Amino acid sequence: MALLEVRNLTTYYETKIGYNEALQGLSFDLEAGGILGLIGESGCGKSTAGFSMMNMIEYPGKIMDGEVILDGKDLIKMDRNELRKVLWKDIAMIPQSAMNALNPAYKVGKQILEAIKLHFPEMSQEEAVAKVEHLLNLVGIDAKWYHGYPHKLSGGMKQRIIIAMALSCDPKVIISDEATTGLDVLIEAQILALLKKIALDRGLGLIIISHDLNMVTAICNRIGIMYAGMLVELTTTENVLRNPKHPYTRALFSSQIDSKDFDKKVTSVDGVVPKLVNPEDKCRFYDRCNRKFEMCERKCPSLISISDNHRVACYLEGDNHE
Amino acid sequence: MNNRYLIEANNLKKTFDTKDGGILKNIKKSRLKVYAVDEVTFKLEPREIIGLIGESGCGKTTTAKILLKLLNVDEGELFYKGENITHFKNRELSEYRKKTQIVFQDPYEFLNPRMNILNIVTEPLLINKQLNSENVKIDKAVEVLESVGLNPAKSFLYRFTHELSGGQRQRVAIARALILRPDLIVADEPTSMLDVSVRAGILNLLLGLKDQYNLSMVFITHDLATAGYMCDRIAVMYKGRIVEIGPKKEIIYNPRHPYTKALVEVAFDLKNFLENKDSFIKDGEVDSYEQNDYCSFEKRCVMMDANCKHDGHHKMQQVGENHFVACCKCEH
Repeated sequence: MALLEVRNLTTYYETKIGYNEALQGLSFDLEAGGILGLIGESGCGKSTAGFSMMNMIEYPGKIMDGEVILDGKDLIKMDRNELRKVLWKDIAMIPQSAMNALNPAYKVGKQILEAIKLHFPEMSQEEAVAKVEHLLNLVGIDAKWYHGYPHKLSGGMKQRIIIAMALSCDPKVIISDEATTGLDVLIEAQILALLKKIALDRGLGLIIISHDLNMVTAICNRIGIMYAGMLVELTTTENVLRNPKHPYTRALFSSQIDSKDFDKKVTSVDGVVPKLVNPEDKCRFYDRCNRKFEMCERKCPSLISISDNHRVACYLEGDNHE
Repeated sequence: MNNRYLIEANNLKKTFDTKDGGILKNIKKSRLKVYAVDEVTFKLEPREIIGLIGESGCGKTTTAKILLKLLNVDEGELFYKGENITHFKNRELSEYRKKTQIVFQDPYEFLNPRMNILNIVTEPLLINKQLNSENVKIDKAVEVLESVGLNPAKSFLYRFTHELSGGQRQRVAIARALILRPDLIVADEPTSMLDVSVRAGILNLLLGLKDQYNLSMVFITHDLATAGYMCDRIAVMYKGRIVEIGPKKEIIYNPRHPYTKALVEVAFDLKNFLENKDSFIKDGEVDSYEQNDYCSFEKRCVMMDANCKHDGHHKMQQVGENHFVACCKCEH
């Protein structure tokens, strides 16, 4: 059984002229020890997906439909109090711009301690402090920084503190929302190596939300490509690299620079992402697609299986015509 | 000095004082110094694109600002077409600045939201008193907007920046830099805020403009793949110093400095880097407050030994054609 099951998760944002369909029918499974990457352009609903999985969407956002099943329990149906017990303990998040996520007025050790005390009230102070120090060591930070304030730390160290925080209550699933964007390439690579090691050692499920193809293909074993609020392709990393099916996936890869041949021209994906307020019922990639035909205009294709572990939302693939 | 080079930078140095240390440190005159740029030397030929690569705080942007004379150097000299411009002031300086323009990183922040595209693009002409009539203004704006691929240009003139996408804004910024017909454009991470799908368009545009207008470019980036695509030569910076400089193919396929090797691995074989991280670089971060007389990379270098601490080992040595490295482990 999968560790985390997401079924038809749909989140809309209320606007004056109707709902913005930011996330439409997201479904996937995540195994223990699995690392899933969600990639797409800005505005494609990646972050909304992350917050929806934790049922943390607030007004004007609204989760319209769907299930997020962790340990046989549906997070979406929980009320506030039940949710409080599960969040951070079973599913934790490394937020975007983690560098600004620390409270400047508290010592970093205290901030990690806070969640442990809340979720394990029976744990003694000494045990909890020992645990924090162990966590700091785990993420490669000297335990003396327990008493340091965030402004003394560099960006990469703050990032490590946030990872320690996310690990503090031994969650089963960690969602990393653009966690390393804005860090330098070398620091980013070091942090990613750390995250991957921890995920494999502890058998965590890790969801990496990012727009960096190079990074995602290097550390994830499965990849979901999102476009305009929908998953358009979901498959193993190998398939994405060797045998991408959806025109958008192909376009994304042809916009990457080829390290073997710098003279090869890269191409951009022309056009813009469609408006998601009351969208027409056609393929959302229609306006930018170079392989469209009349079928694409009539109805939005759904994500179907074309082979083991390979699902695509495009009429050109499989028998999606019906 | 001969005039073969557009820009010659000779031994540039720039330090900044920090505010760290409190009042007593001030009295003792032992304020911490940040070595932003230290002994940077390079030459730029006409129609050449040089890439400055390195992590944040390594002095890429400070170098660029010095080239544009937005900052004065502490030491060193700067030549433009053979003329020493290190101490240019007022009128001479404004002539020089017409020939050098910059494109910034974040197109969402540096375009004035209260000006329309026409005024944004033609503002450099206004400042340099090259605008005679409204017609000239519109003609020039249309011409330059078309050259950056904003078609039909007339429809963009009276729009405001919030109506444009990120890629379009960056094109407006490039148009504004181009309108004075400069010789040199400094592009300070022009694509790092853009989505991958539009990034390629901006890179191709810059390459096309280089040929069309005979531009030289200083291209600042932290992504080696982008630099490989754009540049003729690449200079890798670390803690204010250039540690390796050479033709792009030399740097990417035959890196010599351990720092460059780590950067190349991250950019082109991240998977391998993640698995064998410790054979490339030690954990740690840049500390720009201290500067040694010897190698500045010592704290993170995996090849470090006692030999590296001898004075003067950070000096550049030639290892190939136009390929220089500041590492004592790289004998040629």
